[in-house]
Amino acid sequence: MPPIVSIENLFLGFGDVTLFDGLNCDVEPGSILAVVGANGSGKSTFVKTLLGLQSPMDGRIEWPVGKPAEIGYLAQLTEFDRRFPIRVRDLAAMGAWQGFNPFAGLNKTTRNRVDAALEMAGILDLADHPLHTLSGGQLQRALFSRVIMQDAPLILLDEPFSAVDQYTEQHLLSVIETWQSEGRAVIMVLHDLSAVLDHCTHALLLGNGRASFGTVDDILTPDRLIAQGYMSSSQASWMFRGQSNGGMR
Amino acid sequence: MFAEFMIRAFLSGLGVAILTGVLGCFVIWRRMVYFGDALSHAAILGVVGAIALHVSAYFGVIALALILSVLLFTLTSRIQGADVILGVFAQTGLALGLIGASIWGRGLSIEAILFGDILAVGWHDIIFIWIGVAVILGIILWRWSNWITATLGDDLAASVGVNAKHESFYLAALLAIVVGLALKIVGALLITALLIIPAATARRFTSTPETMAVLSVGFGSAASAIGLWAAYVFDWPAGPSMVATAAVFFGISQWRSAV
Ligand SMILES: Nc1ncnc2c1ncn2[C@@H]1O[C@H](COP(=O)(O)OP(=O)(O)OP(=O)(O)O)[C@@H](O)[C@H]1O
Ligand SMILES: [Mg+2]
Repeated sequence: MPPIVSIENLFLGFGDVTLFDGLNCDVEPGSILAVVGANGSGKSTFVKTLLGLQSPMDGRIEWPVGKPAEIGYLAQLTEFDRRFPIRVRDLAAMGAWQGFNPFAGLNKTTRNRVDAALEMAGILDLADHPLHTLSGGQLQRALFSRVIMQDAPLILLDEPFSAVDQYTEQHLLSVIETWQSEGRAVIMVLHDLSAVLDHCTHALLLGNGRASFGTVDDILTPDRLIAQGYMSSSQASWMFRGQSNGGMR
Repeated sequence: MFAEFMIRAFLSGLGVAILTGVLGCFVIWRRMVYFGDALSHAAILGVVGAIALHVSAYFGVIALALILSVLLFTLTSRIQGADVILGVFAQTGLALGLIGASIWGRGLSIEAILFGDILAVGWHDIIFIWIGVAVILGIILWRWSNWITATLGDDLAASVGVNAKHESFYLAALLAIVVGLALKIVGALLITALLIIPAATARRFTSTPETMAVLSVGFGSAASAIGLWAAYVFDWPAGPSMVATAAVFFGISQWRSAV
């Protein structure tokens, strides 16, 4: 199968600032790519570049089977005014862009899909609440249910678990694995290396002006993590204690 | 019971209230209050320019407001501290407009430009405004879901294939046209009030953007009708009476939600 997106020699930065360059990577259907790196290493910038919100300094982003009309997206920070009058249910429904007509109301199939998405994100009980009454983690779940509604071949999640509890994280990870089995590709920014090891097929490690892409086992080695400024050598030796082959498993 | 000029005033006030009611919701959601202010203050320059060039005042105001919205839009999307830029534009537009008025505006009533002159609207104004209402409402309905999505953020919009920058630009251009249409009715200093007060009142009672827009139109229309009636009965200036009525509604809505 052709990759959903194919990245060639990508160079990201702002003005004089280089985040990284020379990235080559293909994202296949059914893969889960973890984007890992220190604060400010360019993880969110990478995700926004795939969305088309940011232009690369150089390099190419190709879509071998065509750029999808929709790309699932969960932002690291939501920027809109939370007093915008919208209920959780309607926010989720807006993900189903093709069937979304606020004046006609939703048809029954879409309504059922919205309920299912809210259920999956564990927020069905708050379906009729306005957004401004939600806690930070509840808002993140509401936005996650919108991504579920998007039904997109490529899904970008920027620190999707930063505000949710462990139980919800576990639950959302199982949703992500369902997407994987449906042949969608997921790219997610994560700081939790054990979640990366357990759930992701590939990793993109950013830091110190470099970008390393490969399978999780190839990329998450103590040497690389130290060299790209993700952790100190004492942290690495604690994390990789009892292992001699350089891998974490 | 009312003189014909009052019927004209009601009809034009209603048209303006419908437009400002709907667009005012976007002004609030997207924090464009200063943007509306800058457009309406600078519109004075448009009136004066139209007089100098011997063209219709509507044409002058709308043309200037469109140019300004392009300018403001490109500047403020690049620069931090947009409120400063907008403030500079608003006050400079006002100052230049007043200087221009002293040069070209013989016989021009500054007061009418600043506070509106609803009692002087003619039937041609009304036709113009209501054509505006029909066309602009059509555009708003057509773009509605895109604009709501763009309001939720550039990134969320991009994820469903909506270019938020383009949509925001169309919205700004429409706002410029509405400022032009409303100038004669409420005046440059009070247009922003009609944009934000009814919408802010409506926000108290709604949980969806659609009902907020409808309620905002309702509050705006009621304020405009009651304000005009008060102006007629007590011989108050019309534009300020409409705004004061809208403010009373706002006060009541705040009180109601506080208890
Ligand atoms: N619009 C912008 N203009 C200039 N510099 C920017 C812009 N957006 C981000 N940056 C810079 O680019 C760098 C990478 O930002 P980015 O948000 O991609 O980091 P990140 O890896 O997601 O960090 P975090 O882990 O904190 O979320 C940062 O140093 C940031 O200051
Ligand atoms: Mg980030």
